[in-house]
Amino acid sequence: MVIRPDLIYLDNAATTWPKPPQVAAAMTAFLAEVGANPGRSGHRLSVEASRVVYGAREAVAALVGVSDPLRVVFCANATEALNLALGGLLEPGRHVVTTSMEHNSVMRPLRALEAEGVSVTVVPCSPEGVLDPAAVAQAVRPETAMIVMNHASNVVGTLLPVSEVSAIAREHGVLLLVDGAQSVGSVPITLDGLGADLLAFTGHKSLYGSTGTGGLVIGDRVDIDRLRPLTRGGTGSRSESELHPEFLPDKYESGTPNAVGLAGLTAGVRWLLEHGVEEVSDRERRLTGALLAGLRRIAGVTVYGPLDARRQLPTVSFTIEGLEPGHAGRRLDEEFGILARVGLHCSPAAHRTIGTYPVGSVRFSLGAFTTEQDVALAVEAVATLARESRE
Amino acid sequence: MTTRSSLCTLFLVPSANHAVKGEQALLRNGIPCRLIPVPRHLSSQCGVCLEVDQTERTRAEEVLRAAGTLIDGTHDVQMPPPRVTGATISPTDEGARAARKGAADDDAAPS
Repeated sequence: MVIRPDLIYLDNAATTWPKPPQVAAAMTAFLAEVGANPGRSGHRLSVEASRVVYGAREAVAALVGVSDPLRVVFCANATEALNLALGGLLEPGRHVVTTSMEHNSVMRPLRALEAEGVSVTVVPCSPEGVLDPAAVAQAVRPETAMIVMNHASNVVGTLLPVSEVSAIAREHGVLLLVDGAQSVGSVPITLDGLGADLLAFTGHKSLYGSTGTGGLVIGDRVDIDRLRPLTRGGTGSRSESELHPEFLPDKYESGTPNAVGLAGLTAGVRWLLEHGVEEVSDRERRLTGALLAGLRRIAGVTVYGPLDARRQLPTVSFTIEGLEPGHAGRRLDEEFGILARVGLHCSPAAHRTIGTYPVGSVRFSLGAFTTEQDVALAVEAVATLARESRE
Repeated sequence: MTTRSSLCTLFLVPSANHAVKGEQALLRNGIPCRLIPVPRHLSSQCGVCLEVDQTERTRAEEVLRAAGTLIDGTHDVQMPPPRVTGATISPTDEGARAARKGAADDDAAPS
């Protein structure tokens, strides 16, 4: 699907684009034909809007293998979901373990909680972004309440051993929160398969929905009486009470939800399920292999991460000798129409780990609509920049 | 449903989420239902409740509980037949389609 033939969009780890046409159609239909506030009134359009929102819960629940759609709590994005889980469960005096490959959506709330008396251990990963589960086990203490980790790095795509860490979490009786912003929809996963207790996801990346959607999937082991909400307010339920409801999902969804976005999210997830997560993932893996091979052949280019498409998402970071990443990104855009993300990718810890801090890297991230030709042209463009920077 | 008998059972649920969840469970089990505004004399809630024919009360309650739908209250009430049946459909939502199909089936049933 080519929307802008003049552009090669390789920034899918920031947000996927283009979206399947069904997504915009669903959002337009919602605005044009439904439009009402879900759960706030008893009239037919409000009821219909509620069905649309519930349909999004069902779609996400089906994708991640959760039988009760009400355990899917919608937020504005994965960051809000992570803040909900971290801020809602961690208390002063408790301890949390995380990894050195985390995005600031985990690191910043953890640092804020640290200032309030939560102790934080950051387990270092290898320069390829690989996590040793044994190091996580060693970091767990009696007062540890949670392990929080991403499933895949947003910088180099490295897949982290969530299942192995889950076994450690179970053994020690601590909760496992997984940041699935990059991986949910990109690789086949289920909540149980990961062994996660809480799974944060975003709707606008590999679920192909619009920005402004995301959420938290809450597993059975989480005691929702202990998970404090981020916000309290109108939910459309128990309106007679000035006390906030305690049941799912209303406890964590105050205020009017992004129903139009959720209409699009449903369409995106359905598109993905129709095409098959495995099939889309396999195709992206093949293209990632070609991209890795092409970039690694270029003199003066250093590629970071596992350098193995089977061990990473279609996200590839690299630097060009003699060419600062910001400048490389501008030239890729202006001279070649290639859209990439450069710099630190909101993940200074990850860049310290792979050795690219503070300059950062150029990141190419592929999506379902990336073509072989896109990859070939991108490699050719990088080769040109690398050659010119050496001249 | 209400066109066959004016005696209905209303299941009060805590939120629209539970209402839609319950609606889907009932429709999947072949029990016609409607989501209607909660009558003021039953609750001060501003949302919707589930209406089924009173003859389906026991089976509906079993289905709702099995589906995990929270039930705040159950009331048998005399309801006037609906003047307008069936909700308009969101093209994005299977639940809405199912609801519409359920309503259409009900409309077709003899009164």
